[in-house]
Amino acid sequence: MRSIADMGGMQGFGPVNRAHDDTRFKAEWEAKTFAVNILSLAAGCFNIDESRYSMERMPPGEYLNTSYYEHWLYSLEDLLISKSVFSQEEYQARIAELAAKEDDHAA
Amino acid sequence: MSHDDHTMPPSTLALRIKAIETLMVEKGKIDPGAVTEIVDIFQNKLGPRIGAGVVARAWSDPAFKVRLLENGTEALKEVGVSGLQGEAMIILENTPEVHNVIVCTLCSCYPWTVLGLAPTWYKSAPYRSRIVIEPRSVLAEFGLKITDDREVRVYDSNAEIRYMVLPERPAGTEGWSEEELAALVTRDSMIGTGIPLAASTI
Amino acid sequence: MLPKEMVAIAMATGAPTLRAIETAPKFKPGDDIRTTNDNVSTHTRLPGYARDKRGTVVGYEGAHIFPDAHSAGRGECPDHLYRVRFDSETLWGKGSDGPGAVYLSLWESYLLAGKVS
Repeated sequence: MRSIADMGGMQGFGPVNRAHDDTRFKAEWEAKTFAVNILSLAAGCFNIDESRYSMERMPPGEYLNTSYYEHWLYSLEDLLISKSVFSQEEYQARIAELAAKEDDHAA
Repeated sequence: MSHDDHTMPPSTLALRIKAIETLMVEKGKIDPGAVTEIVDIFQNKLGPRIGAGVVARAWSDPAFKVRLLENGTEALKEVGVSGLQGEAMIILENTPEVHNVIVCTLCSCYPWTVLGLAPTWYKSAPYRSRIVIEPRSVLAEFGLKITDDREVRVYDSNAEIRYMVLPERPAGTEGWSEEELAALVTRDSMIGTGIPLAASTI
Repeated sequence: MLPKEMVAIAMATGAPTLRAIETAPKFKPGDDIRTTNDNVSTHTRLPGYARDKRGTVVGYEGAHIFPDAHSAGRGECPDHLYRVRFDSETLWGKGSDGPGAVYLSLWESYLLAGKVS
């Protein structure tokens, strides 16, 4: 598909920001997203082609305005839920649970 | 606003991945210890020093260089380099006539086994979009001027073939050891957005 | 599930996409081709900038898992993969910024035979 990801030859994105030279994960969530993705592939939950197709189908505005690992996180959610590895309900419940725990610690 | 800024606060991203990770562990899909192993490999073990060593060997050993250019995957296995995203490697030789540079316009595929993880700029929209259509202009932003008597070849990594550039050996390095040579090889020179350091640098 | 102890070896092995298939490759290095103009809405690895363009086959990479099928639950469906060169003038016309070319790895079904000389 001619998705937003198919950007070769597009003009208007401006200069390359060479200062963005970092290769290390900027935060723990990036490292976990990377590792969970690789391990999900290894476990056969989805294949790499499904993963790339998923990222291409991000809403274009979101794709351009989120970071690289956010694209990976999007596709993890998309594929694991659509393939019923876990449900949307389980996922939201777990997020809420973890958020509550965080609030407890903060209090 | 750079497109690396998060639209959601980082804590929400952290919660999302933590939720996924814990669910996947509970469902027996991933081993929590494996997460740490993977991060360690990609953060600490893989990196451009591996590629630099390969370049230095190719500069020092003409027979190895021939094998490297003929079958990158097999020659790399000789020196213990292999694995994820390096299953099919092609090494691109820079010459006085040709300057090579790599990209993945469609998503950001990168030769992890020889260079480790990609820098953020490589994955950015400006690089992915412009390097195929105006490579000389992009390379100029990297301080690299390619004269018109040379051809610029852009390799778009759209399949599972991965590339690494073999830059030209700097002048004045005759008789240098592989270790000394490797110190001149920058990461960008193996992507094609730079050239190695000059002999006088060391 | 990949256990912790197997991670290093799994990362060092990777996931090769090379497969053996029965059919002979249709193209060979030196052949002129034209890429298809099939603007499918599903996953493909033929970038938009290289659709319906003339190029030259410069290498054969073997048969590899076909992403268009693999991403859509149709299985691996491996097909012959070729390294193809596109002159920058062909791709960009007056927009080209100097002598150059773009190289892509393209599956056989993305390619049509070019002019027979």
